[in-house]
Amino acid sequence: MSAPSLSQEQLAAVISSADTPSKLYGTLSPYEEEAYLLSFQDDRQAELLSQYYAAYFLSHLLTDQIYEARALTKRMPQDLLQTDSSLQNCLALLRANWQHKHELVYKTLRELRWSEILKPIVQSYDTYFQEKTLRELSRTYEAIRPATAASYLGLDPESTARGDPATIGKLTAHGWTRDEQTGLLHPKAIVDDSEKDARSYNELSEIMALIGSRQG
Amino acid sequence: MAESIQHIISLSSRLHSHDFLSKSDYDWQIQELISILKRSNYSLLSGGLLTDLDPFEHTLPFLFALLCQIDSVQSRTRSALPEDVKPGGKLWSKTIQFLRTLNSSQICYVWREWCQLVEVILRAAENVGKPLLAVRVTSDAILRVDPTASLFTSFHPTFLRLCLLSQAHSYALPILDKHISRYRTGFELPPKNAGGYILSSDNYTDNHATEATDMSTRLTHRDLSKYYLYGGMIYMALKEWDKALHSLSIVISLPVVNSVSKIMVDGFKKWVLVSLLRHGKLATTPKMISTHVARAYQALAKPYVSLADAFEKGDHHRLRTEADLGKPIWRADCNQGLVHQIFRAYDMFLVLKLGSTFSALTTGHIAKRASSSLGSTTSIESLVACLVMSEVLEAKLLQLQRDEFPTMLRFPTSVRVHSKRRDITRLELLRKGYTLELLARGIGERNNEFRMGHDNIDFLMKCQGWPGISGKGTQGGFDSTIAGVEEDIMGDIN
Amino acid sequence: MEYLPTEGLDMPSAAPYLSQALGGGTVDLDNINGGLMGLNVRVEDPPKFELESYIANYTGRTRYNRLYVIGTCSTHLAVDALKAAVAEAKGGKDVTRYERAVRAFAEVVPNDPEATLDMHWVDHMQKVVKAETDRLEHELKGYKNNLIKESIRMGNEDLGQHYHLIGDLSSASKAYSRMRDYCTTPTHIVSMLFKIINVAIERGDWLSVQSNVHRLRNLQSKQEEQAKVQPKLSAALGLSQLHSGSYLDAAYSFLSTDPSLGDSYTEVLTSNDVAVYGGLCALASMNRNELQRRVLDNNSFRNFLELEPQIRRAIAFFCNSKFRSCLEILEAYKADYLLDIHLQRHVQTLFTRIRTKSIQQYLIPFNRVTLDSMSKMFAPGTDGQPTDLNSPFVQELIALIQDGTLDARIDLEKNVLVSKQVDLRTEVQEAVLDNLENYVREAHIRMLRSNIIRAGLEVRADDNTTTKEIRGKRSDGYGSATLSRGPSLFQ
Repeated sequence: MSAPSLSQEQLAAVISSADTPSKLYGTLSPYEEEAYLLSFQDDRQAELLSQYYAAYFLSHLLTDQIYEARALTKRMPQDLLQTDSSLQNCLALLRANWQHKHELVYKTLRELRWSEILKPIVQSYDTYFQEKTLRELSRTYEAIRPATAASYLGLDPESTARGDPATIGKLTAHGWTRDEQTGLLHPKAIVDDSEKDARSYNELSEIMALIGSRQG
Repeated sequence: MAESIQHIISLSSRLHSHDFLSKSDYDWQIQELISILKRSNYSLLSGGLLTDLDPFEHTLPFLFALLCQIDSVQSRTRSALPEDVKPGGKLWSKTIQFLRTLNSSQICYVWREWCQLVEVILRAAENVGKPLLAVRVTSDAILRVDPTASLFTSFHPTFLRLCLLSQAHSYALPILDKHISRYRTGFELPPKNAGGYILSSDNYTDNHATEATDMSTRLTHRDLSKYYLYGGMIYMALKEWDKALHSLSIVISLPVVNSVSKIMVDGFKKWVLVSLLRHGKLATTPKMISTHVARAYQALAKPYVSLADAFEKGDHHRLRTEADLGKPIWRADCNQGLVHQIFRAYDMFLVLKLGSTFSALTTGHIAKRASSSLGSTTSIESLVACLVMSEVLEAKLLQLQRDEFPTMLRFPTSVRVHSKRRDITRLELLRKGYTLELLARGIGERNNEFRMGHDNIDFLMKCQGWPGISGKGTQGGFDSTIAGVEEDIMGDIN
Repeated sequence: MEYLPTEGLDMPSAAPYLSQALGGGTVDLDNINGGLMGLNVRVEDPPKFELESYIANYTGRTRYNRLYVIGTCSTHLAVDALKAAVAEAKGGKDVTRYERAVRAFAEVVPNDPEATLDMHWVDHMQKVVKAETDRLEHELKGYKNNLIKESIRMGNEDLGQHYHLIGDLSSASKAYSRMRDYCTTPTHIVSMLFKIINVAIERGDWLSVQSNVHRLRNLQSKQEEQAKVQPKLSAALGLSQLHSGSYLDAAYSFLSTDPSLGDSYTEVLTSNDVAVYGGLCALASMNRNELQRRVLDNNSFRNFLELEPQIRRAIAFFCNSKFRSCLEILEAYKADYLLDIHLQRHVQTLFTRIRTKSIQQYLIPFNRVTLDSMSKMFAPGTDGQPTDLNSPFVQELIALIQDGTLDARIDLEKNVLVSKQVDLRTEVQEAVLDNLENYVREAHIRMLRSNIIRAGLEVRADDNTTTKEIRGKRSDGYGSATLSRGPSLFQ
């Protein structure tokens, strides 16, 4: 293998250097076999393994591969999974995610103890998850109570209800508005641009032509 | 002897200058090398070669030396999987090294040896209970050797089983997503061209067609049905219901000489559940399934059929009862997980169906209509929100000021509102269009290959033809499906 | 409430009811003959007609049948009708129907002297009937020996008539059918066929009615002869179609009945009945345009409609989109229709269809309609929450939407019914996509199949050992076991 072998320094370097989630996933993924071999050769590596698997797990979540993330929790050395706190955190996070319990996701991310090396990923997942949920919420609700929004987005319920600009600034930045009278928030759908329309339209007609020509 | 090794190595290195060699010369030289390698004995292909040779430079000698070593260790230890071969062993790491670096253009000349090696690796990994170790490296190597992955070999099912065992489902996708279309046996004619679903860009099929094809004679229908069943299961694990359904459709519609196999029945059971999960009702079975097979399915998978019936009729109470009654059956068939998911799917389709009757209603209304299954208005709201957020359902939720008022659910008044869906549809259309083009070409070539002109079919039908294929079944089938589909399409447009 | 698939406004939808035709016929047999009421109809509301003048319009055995139906169904007319039925039966030779009438009467007024069987009459009549039967059978035998065609025909006719009178309908029908070979003139044939038809109507054997009507139609006879039998024929055919549920066909038959029918067919129905049957069937099966053209503007049928002005009014209201008035009229006359021997079992279906059709027609011009205004139109009198999800009217709408009758959706936020809008282009593209997907899938499977067969890899039964091996492996927990463990954890 050309890449340097798995070590805590290497892991830290990978985590700090990866600028996109998919890159992180891409760099961590090839180490899995090595980690797998380590897992039954060397017990002293437990800490490294726990950090590697936790980071790898989070990189799955960051790239929206929840089913694979779950499969990963089964591929991990099960003894380690049962005893290691980072991996237990991962498991809790997975469960919250799986059951669509947003509040619990934020709670797991923010209140559980994560090791230093993982903190940047945990932080970026928090942001990622919040933004993703915000996009989804904007599509889902036409009017939403601040309390509901706060629980979905992991915001402080009280200041959201008050309409504290510091808290809902992010929301208003996405075009959300707040009805002063009712206190309800009105999300605005975040539209994806559909510039490819014209091109795909042309190609569509080609396909129609193909279908037509096959008829004879 | 030593000069023989020199000879082999020089022959092997000469292959790398194949830019200067004509195609036939290259072929001739490689055949010569292979014949020498095949004649060589253990002493010549010593373990030393494995350290000296570079697997890319000298792919063929390395492969033969590797196999030779494995063989000698096997016979020395009198075990099929000696320690050396197992993960961590000496030969294991050599094999991994080989798989990572081999020169794929030469492998197709030694198809049989290649299959042997892959099987050894897969079996070794499975044997020590560390299937993951072999999965990715073999998947990469297989793809490098056969980029279209269209040729079915005996290690395919083993490979998928390892993926399932190791829970590394997505690693199987590069291979599984390709459509296998060719099977080789000893008695078939070498294919004239790379046929099949996906057309290979190079002419590599020509090459290994020249290699003796006795390798695949060991293939049985079980290998095939296992492959597609495992494939279906991998897709299920990834919740790619459409693909899972297709894979299982292949299992249940495999051509049958006399009786259905247990694997097919297992496939049918899973097919029933998956089609409920995907469509909320039983999909139509592939038309190829003959009536006696269909009857066998109905008889052998009764609990599943009646579960599906309860689901389709929207009878939540009966669904519960059926699911509870069938518990030992689901457990025995390893389908508990799927049955468990049925209930969520039931709720989901319940909500989805509302959209065709109502254009707006409150969660309170849903609670009233759905009787017991969905629970409180809050849980309904979170279910609906979750469906909308994951883009399964198109709707908008409207909360009111105070939380004791039920939330209003609005369905879009027309599709126009959602330009997004239209775009997705178009993109999907484009993709399918390309597939269709490939497929159409594939079919054309297949027809040529089978020499299935109408005259020929008539002739074959007269003198019994192939077992199981009546001219109508294949040729007529293709043509009529093409014609049928297209007429429909054009009809819609006009 | 039960909703039958509305048949839209076109004709071919009669087909699904063909199967009902047989069933309907046999049930009717029980209904009229055996006295077992197929439907347990109780009519509480007083009908609008007056019993005596109503029954005076009819002759023959249908009088008793009608009286009996009215007597057993209507609470208002039970006494009068059954009393009349007893009298009617006693005036005839049919002992069983006398017994039946007395039994029914006894249930209503147990103490009335008429409510006990006149055993003397019964014994006497049974003897008379027996003697008559023997005599006629004997005579017929004599004629047969003499081989005189005309005598045999008449002998059979007499026998048939006798059987008909004593209520042995199947024997009557057989005797009449035996006349066939001895008919020498077209007139004989016509009269024979009519006799068969009449017995078949009474038996509720609607298939036989239809086939004999067609037989009669195909007879080559003179113009004036044809004109003479046409009204009766159309009426009989209409009846049989009504009973087989082909309401549109029935409507056409009744509409084409010539007004010269007058009171020439009172042993089966009156001109009033033709108006009611034809009008209701037309309302249930035609659209506004057709109703106007084929019913209201139909000069010959106008003669019938004049006899039953309320039907005319109802149709006119429907044509003018005054659905509520139309439905109100029908509702007002429902009791009458429920007490009609032929209409009884179809009233519910006909009314439902008329109602559904009204709702459909009402919605045509609108993009969205408030549920309020709709319920005022179609569900007047339901106070309180007419637009609540659980109100019968909303439930009715939901059922109509779900079975595809209404192409609309309910908006419970604004309480309106919104007609569906479609984006044709997207719809076409989605349909194409669907087709493509199916095609690609099927082609793939077929291609695999041909390759598998070519490679000789079909599934075949083979030695058990290998099969067991597979089973063993699989049950070890490979494969699907991996799937079955997980979700329980998470869901």
